[in-house]
Amino acid sequence: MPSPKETRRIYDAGSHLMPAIHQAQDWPYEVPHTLYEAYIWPTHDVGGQPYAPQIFEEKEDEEWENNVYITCEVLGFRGMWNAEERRRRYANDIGLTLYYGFPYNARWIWGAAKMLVDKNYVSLLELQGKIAEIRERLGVNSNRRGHAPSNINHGDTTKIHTGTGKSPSSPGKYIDYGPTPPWEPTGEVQPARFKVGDRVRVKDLPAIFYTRTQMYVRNMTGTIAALTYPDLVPADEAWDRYDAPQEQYYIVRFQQKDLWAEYPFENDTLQSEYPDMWLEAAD
Amino acid sequence: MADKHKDGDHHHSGDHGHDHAAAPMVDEISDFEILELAVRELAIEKGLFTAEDHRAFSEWNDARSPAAGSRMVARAWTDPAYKARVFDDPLNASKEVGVDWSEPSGFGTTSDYMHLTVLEDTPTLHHVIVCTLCSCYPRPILGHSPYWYRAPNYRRRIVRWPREVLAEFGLIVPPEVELRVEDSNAKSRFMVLPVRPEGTEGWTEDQLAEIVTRDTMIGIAMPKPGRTTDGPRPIHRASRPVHSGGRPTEAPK
Repeated sequence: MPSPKETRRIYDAGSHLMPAIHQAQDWPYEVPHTLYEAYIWPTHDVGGQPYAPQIFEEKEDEEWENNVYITCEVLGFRGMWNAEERRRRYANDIGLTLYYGFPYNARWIWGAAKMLVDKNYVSLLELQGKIAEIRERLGVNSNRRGHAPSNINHGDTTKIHTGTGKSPSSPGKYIDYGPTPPWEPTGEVQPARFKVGDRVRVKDLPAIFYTRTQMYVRNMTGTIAALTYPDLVPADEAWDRYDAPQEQYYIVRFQQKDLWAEYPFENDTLQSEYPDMWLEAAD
Repeated sequence: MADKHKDGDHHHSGDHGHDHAAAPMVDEISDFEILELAVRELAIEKGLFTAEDHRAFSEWNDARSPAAGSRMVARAWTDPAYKARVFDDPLNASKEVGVDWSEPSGFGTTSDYMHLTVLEDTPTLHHVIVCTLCSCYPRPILGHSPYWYRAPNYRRRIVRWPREVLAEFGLIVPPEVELRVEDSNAKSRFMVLPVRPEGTEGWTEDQLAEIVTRDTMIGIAMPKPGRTTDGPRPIHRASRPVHSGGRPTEAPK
């Protein structure tokens, strides 16, 4: 007699079965334009894609996931990469298979390793050697408990309290990384072309390699709701072009029924943020 | 095959260092754990960053939680002058509840930047936040995002079927209320200032902060008297959870 939990597991497995027709995609002679656009659609830009409901779970972090987050942030403090590079080029632009096949933080560390090799901070042979050395040290596949031992000496630790909602900040207890972030833009700030209330259309530029302008807003018209800050455009920041011009960013408000033809509620809205160059005045 | 995620296999809370005897056996070390160690060790050996960098950021990270956000909302509900500062100068309003967005580097974190906008709900307007492109979230003031917030399902559906998704979380937004989705796709970070519920007249800031849970500041739930936790929602326990200090090990309140 199976336990209720086992019955549930079998039900879950069965309820996820879907038929599929496989057609080999080995270098077709031609690719129609619509399919081309679908192929280059940046993997991580998922807003509006139809999908069945799923159980929303609270997942606890694994220790390695927490360490990945910390390692990737610290690489930023020391100027190895900025978050724009990490988010899009390294952790997201990795093809559909890895994007959906890896856990969330796995894509981060995959990207960090790729970045170190791409930028010649380490050679691929060094990375391979280090992975092999760690496997050997940890005795992968053998029974083991607890944490992965590491040869990194963390030293003494102290507790700080900044997130309790009551404690004051504790300036001076942190490491000095200099007066400006490594990703500080140096280019000239361009004047803002739009003001609150202006009607604007989001351009539909080619999505080649990288974008932070979601597919679902392209060619859509909205209203400037706020001016936020001047900064690099994402396409420049993602390739470390810190001396490129800085542009005004805007919060643009759209009517949901304009974005989605089938949307049934008249007054609902959606807001998102774009730099000047992605917007044009709408009639 | 052993089910290493079976509920109730183990329980962990707070500081118990490396004494984690109740944890399930792990057959194999994750390839990603090995990759993280490889990247970290190589980076330290090459002098790209120091072990101290990693440790110091880990401490900052351990101190994140939604508590500061709860405090900010509760204070805004009770102090009109503070509420005005929340909208006019949110970084200084954050400092008043203990969060300095410039920490721990002097210029903020790599991922979070220093552009907070607080979205005010009214009886006729309700906000919900998402990042359809990745997982942008106001970590300094709300802690780490819940996993479902980062996962594709929520990101796909909330911008197009927001009322349906909110209903799945148990929140029915009346049709006459404008529902506004904030898709956090650039460097601004957002949190929701919900409407102070009826039945809280005369409450202290501490009492009010209790009902301002993480989910109410994402916008997938509404605060109300007696509701001091989010969920109930299934918990997927870690095989080898975070051991460093004060990260929440249970579903956040």
